[in-house]
Amino acid sequence: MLRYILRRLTAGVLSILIASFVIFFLIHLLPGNPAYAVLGGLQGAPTAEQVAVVTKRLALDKPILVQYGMWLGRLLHLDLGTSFVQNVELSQEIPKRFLRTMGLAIPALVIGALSGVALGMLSATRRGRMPDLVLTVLSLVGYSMPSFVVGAFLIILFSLHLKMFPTSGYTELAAGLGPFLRAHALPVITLALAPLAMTLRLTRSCTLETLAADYVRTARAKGVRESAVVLKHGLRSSLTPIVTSIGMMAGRMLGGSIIVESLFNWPGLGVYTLQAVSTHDYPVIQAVALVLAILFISLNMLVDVACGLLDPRITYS
Amino acid sequence: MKRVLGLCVLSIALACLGAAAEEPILGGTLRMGVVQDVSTFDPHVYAGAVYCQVQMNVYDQLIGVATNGDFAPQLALSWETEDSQVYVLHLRNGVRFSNGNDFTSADVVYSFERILNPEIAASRREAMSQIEKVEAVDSLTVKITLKQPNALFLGTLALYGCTMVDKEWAEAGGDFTREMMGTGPFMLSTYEKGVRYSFVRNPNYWESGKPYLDGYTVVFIQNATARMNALRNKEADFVDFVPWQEMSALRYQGFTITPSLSTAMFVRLNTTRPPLDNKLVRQALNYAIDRELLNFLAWGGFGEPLKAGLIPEGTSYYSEDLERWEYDPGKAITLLAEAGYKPEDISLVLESMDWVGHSDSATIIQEQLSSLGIRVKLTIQPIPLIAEKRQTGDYLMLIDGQKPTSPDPDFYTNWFHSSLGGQYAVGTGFSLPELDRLLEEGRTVSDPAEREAIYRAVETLLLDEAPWIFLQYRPDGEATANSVKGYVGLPGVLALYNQAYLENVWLSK
Repeated sequence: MLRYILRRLTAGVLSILIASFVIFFLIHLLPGNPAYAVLGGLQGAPTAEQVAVVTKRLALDKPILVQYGMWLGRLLHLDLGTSFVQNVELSQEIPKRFLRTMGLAIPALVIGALSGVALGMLSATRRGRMPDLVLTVLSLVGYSMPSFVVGAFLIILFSLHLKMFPTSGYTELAAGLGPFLRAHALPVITLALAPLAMTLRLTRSCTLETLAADYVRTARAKGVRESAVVLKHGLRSSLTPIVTSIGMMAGRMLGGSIIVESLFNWPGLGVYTLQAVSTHDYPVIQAVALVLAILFISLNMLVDVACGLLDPRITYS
Repeated sequence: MKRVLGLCVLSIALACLGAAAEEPILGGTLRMGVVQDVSTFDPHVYAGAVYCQVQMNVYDQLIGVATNGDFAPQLALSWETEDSQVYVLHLRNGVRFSNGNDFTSADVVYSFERILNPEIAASRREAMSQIEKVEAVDSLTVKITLKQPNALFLGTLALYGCTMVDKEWAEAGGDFTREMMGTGPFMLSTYEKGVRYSFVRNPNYWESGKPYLDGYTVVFIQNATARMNALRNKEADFVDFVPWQEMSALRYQGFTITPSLSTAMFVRLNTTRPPLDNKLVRQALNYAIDRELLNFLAWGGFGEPLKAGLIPEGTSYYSEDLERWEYDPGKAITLLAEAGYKPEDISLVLESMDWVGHSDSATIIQEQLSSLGIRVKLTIQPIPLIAEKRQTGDYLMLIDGQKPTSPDPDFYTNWFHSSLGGQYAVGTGFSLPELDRLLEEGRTVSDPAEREAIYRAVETLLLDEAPWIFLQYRPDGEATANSVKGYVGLPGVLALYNQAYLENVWLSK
């Protein structure tokens, strides 16, 4: 068992090292010197001299293997580096931005999933009638409409017309719970619509399937209350595919958040990475890619070890 | 004498302005929504348009610009020169940095040393390399000696980047890239990079009664729609880079637009690569473009097409008889024939960055040239690559938008001088010895009539040589809410500095 864990650990660390290598070299293949972005990008008009000095300062003139070595050395000290363009320490900036993105993604997923399940069951139990028809249409719209359309519409209605929420921007908790929640409201709703729609449809079909089963007919014949039939017997069985799909949607939340972050000017990780790519801010791209890679590889490692503990036969390979 | 007269005119004008306008109200915080962040707080490094809101309101220079474009005293009250080689500047008395340190000539000497230090990568290092030495005559007098006479030196001092910093603070370990210590109207309070900066009034500011504002905040909103919405929803009082499509709508909704036509659009041509190595071909390309149509399609008609070179119409250096760029496809074909080409023989590659401001114009130009029979391939490139190509000259045709570096036609040097033209000539190998000679002469002469003649000759040469396709000035603008008063749009290319004078801004109720 111990050998198995050690093997998995070694494989994990090796994967992270290979990932860091690939990330570093792929990014440095991008044409264009990042020094220009540091000197104002297209708004600046730097002299060749300025560019040379900044290139040297950022160690971009050194051979690529040396730069890789320097980066690896900093990583071993848990230093994610410094952004070229913003001159901030990434070990502080990236967790901060990650939390802000999670501040949208997690509530969106939770709200989307919970309401999706509830509305899906409602839709299934009122099949063919008005609630079902309305919800089915809404779920279709929520599933097909791009998030920037939904977001723009929400801004026009709730921000510009009804003045209930700000049109964009992040407000810290320190500024008050009210402003904090109001700033989160529209982006979370925009992000929650897709998971809500998908969960609704899935729950509806799973519930319908389950409610047609024999054991449900038996329960009804026994005289069990309808609500107990639906919730205790129906929901339990449909839960497995729903939970699996929610797991998959969680992965997609990170990607979907880029559009919402951009529209609502939300200073999160998605939009940060996008800006870093367009300005060739190497340290940021490297750090974000590496952090996500480590997260993914570590989770996989944990799952492997857990599976090994649950079923020792796996450890013999 | 001219200096004293200038100061009199300035003070009378200001007095009249003060008498006619409403009374400024003290207090309030101006909220600004802008596009791009600065990469560093270093006052000697221009790293983004927000430099004006950030560095130029916290720091001062020796000389600034007044609303009519003339020089205005900032930290230097008066100046004199006899031979345009030795300049003596008299400093304002009683100025203090926001930490209480006195501003003296020692700070001036230190500031120039810092600008000239190659490690700093200062934006004005090349421009200031004409300085032989800077001496502190006494605590309030500075003598600057140039290596050669230059009548334009004071103009260079008024450009951004010639900032005065605190020697004591720097030597005690102040970090210019992450902290700010200046003599300007505001001080940096709190900041989060890429998100929001907060500035508050500097209690030690030398101009009494100003600034009117308690402070201002700068929020970064890259998305143009979100930025305009912030203004509409009263979340911001000021936004920059207003898309031309929004200008009419915002005006209709009661906002004030401060338009500016300070960015020139042009297509850079590499004069060392065939077929563009023949000036007849380059002239032909200039006649093959319908600038009015381009302006209408790409900029809603809000821009100003160029009829000759880059000197703006209505300024004293403009020559009407040099106008020539009418849309004339017939003439274009004739010129090509003279060069020995039929339009179908010519195959070009036009590069553009992936921003609609450029790529829209590039597409229209491709269409217009194709209608003549010339084959044009359009390549869209990422921004960092375009920034690099500007200097390396690695292109055949590159569409670009840049601001002239100063209102004086000496700005041509930055582009077209064979050794000083780092923004175009050096990279592409463009070299015209007669042009070099004229540009160098223009820097040593101060008589206006003589200078007008020199730059007339400069433009005549450039238009004949046609190293670029000269397109137009494109419309930019800022939008302000009605409560914002005292925000002035400076004329011509000085519009770059519109946001550097927030000490004049106040908020009405």
